[in-house]
Amino acid sequence: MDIILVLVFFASGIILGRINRTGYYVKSFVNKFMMWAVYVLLFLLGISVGNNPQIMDNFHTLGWQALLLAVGSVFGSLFLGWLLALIYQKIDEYEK
Amino acid sequence: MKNSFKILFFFAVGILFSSIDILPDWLLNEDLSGYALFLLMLIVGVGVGSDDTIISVLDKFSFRVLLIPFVVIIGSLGGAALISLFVSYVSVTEAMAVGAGFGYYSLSAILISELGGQELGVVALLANIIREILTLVMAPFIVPFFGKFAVIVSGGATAMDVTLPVVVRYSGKDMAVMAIFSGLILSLLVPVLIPFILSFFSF
Repeated sequence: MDIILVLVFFASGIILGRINRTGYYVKSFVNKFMMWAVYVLLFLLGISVGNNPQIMDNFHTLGWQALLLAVGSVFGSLFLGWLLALIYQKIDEYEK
Repeated sequence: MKNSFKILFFFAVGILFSSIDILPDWLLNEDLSGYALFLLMLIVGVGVGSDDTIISVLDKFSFRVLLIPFVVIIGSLGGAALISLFVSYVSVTEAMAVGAGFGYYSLSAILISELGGQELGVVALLANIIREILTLVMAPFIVPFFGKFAVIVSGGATAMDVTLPVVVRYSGKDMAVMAIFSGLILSLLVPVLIPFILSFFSF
């Protein structure tokens, strides 16, 4: 349910933004507000994480998981990006 | 870079505040962050909808350019899923959700902590900040090994802003438009892919 609501709010935002795009003021307001909304939400996340002993006790484990997942994502992307560049190069050579 | 420290700062202050017990009860209400997330999604949407530069960048669309964010999606989700096979605490689904942050740590951490649990939210926050830092630090070293798209695909969603300078510096000025295009597509997909992964896959 939450998941659908997230998408509904996102989609409504896009529609609202499209209808009401009056230029610079909207943009700077949106940027500022978004930044602060993110700060508040991460502050709130910090509070509930701090109140959750299961997370606090496992923080180093979570850190290692995060590092490994980041490395996996980066190298997965790098590998396919390398393959893509290679394929484009071969196509260009073939067409010459 | 400055921004990721700010984000971590607010997160750390939150943890600190939780231990000194001076906060009113309503702030600890779990529903609050749910409502705040909906509001954030609305604002992110307004930002996307009201921004005409997004449309003009999408105009640069070609099949070749489109394949760049596509390989980032497959590579990030696949790479993270592969790692999860060796890390016993994370399921394939959870790993793919973290990978689908594409370096957009603020939004992915918030979305995942609401939809997939706080523990995974913390992992998403750290993993995606690490992705940004890795890209900034490794940029000069990955280009010789992984070619001209290396920095763009490594940066993921951040290729349009934070890691754009290193793209231009180490891959070349002609890569800038592609970097912005790819970063933009990936940023737009973060709020769509993460809920999708967390709700439709369960293995």
